[in-house]
Amino acid sequence: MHEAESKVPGGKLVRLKAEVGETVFSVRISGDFFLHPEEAIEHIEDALVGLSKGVTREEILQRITNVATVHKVTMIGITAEAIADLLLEVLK
Amino acid sequence: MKWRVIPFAVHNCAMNMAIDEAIQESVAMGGPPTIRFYRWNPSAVSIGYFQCLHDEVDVEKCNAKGIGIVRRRTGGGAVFHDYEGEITYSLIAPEPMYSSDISKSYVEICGMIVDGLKRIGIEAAFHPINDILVGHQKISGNAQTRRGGVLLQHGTILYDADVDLMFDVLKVRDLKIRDKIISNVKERIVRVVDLKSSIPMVGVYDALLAAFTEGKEWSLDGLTDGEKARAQQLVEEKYEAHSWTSKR
Repeated sequence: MHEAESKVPGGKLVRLKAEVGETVFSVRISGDFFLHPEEAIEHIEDALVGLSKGVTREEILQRITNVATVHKVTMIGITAEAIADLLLEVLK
Repeated sequence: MKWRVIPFAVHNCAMNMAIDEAIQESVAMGGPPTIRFYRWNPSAVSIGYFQCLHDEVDVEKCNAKGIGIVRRRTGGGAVFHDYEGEITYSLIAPEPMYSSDISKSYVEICGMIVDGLKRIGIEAAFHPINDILVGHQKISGNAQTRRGGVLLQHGTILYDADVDLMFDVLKVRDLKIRDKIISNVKERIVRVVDLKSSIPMVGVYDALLAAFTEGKEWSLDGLTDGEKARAQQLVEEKYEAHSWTSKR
């Protein structure tokens, strides 16, 4: 399991844990942020599974944005960019 | 719309969260908007919806000390609910009664806590995202969820919380600088007793009740039989279930 964390402006902590090989096998995003509706976090995590090790930041952001649009997600203390950067750090 | 205010009560951690959810369901089906104030017995840790239990809580220490553990439906951080040292509130209302902008609704609802503290001579202010500070020190944290068209916001007001015990049961990430982190956090929080040593907890409750009910038509009333039964079901099926508490 690989892990990375960051503090998002506003002071909230976002932590990403992932099992990775040549692709992302599993993702778990945790922290003290807010995300509405709460269950959408699982959809975001599922959307990142299967991404290849060489994925670009833009591709990750697109996956997250698609979920956010479909599920009308509001993020407070967490951003799609923070999630993308943490996943890239784990994939290094 | 007439508000229901549930009298100041004490429950264990699972029941406190179950009552919030039962009331939220009730309001979604047309029940009155509701305010409640409560304490936690035994003292307990609640973690946010998105937190990883074992990253945040020393579960063994909690079990050894008889401190409860519960996962909330709301996001936010890990909170130590000291039976002797804290008042928790919940406000549950149809979404249209507050701003559709979640960040703005925090300002609206937290404004009542600021008003309540003012009534006992404490000058506090809302600090985004979800805190209330006296100067630079935190006296209240809050968290909100919206489900089924109903807003639930709950939060704590630190009265006389045992900060040393709090650090005993919550995990500090970097053990190398644990002492520094604890010292920093202690310096960044404040309790009512630090500012107004002579005010009893019931005095804080009275001030908060006045602030929360100002301008509202309201009456004191308890949970319905249906809500009590639903809360008990939620305790058994969810809030005491390992699958919920350890879900991430």
